Amino acid sequence: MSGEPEYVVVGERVRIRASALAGLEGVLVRKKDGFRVVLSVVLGVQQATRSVAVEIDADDLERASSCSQPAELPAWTGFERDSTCFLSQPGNPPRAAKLLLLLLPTKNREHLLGDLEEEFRTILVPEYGLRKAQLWYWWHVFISMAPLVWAAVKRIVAANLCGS
Amino acid sequence: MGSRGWLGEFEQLVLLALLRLGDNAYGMRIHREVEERIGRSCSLGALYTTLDRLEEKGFVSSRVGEPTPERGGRAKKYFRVEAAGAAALRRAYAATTQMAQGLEPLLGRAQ
Repeated sequence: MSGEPEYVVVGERVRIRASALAGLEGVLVRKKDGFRVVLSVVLGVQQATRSVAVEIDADDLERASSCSQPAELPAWTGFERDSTCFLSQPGNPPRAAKLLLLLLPTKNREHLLGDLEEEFRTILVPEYGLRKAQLWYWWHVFISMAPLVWAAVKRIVAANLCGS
Repeated sequence: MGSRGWLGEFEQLVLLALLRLGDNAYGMRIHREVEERIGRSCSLGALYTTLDRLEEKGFVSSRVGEPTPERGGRAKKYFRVEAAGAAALRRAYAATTQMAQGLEPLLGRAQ
């Protein structure tokens, strides 16, 4: 992004302001090399509607302050629009992986679950599809457990040492 | 100065991400910012333990935000850098710069 004229962050709703795709809105899913970005946008009409990844110049982008697209998409499109106007394909994180996270110490557990779910729904599913997104979710549950459990053990040991 | 005043490498990266994100710094955004900007993969578990440690040191503060549908109705936890955190970051940056002085031919230009 040349000088990042308008600082937009991953997950934010944006609008393409130049090129053949001008006017399309989507969600910023990845910044590549500082000059190119990847958006998730919905293209097509009726049964042909698909969420696709589009790579464009960062300069052709602006922040979408509000949703200017139709308020609701028909159910047959297979897409959902949430209260922030974000369009996503339905699909849930693997339930077993979420249950595994419930075994973790309570501090920050709800926030971590929320973060994983938001990244899964808003970035991973649109860009990589449901199956890969679910694998990603499993992987992040496993690699998140070790540091959290270790931190909890250290807290318990420290509390016992202070108490004795 | 005790070792608690110095920052580890990942702590520095997390504090820099918080400064970049401003009012929008919560777990998922911080995670993406670190991964996208430097290509370093990290787990959300490691991120939260680091943020907890920084908060215990008084380097960051947190507040619980609003729940949203795409988070399964769970609330965000926002973080911001406190004055002590900014000072620790300046110290770490100055120390790195001073230690690297004169070694540019060896280190090359950072991309």
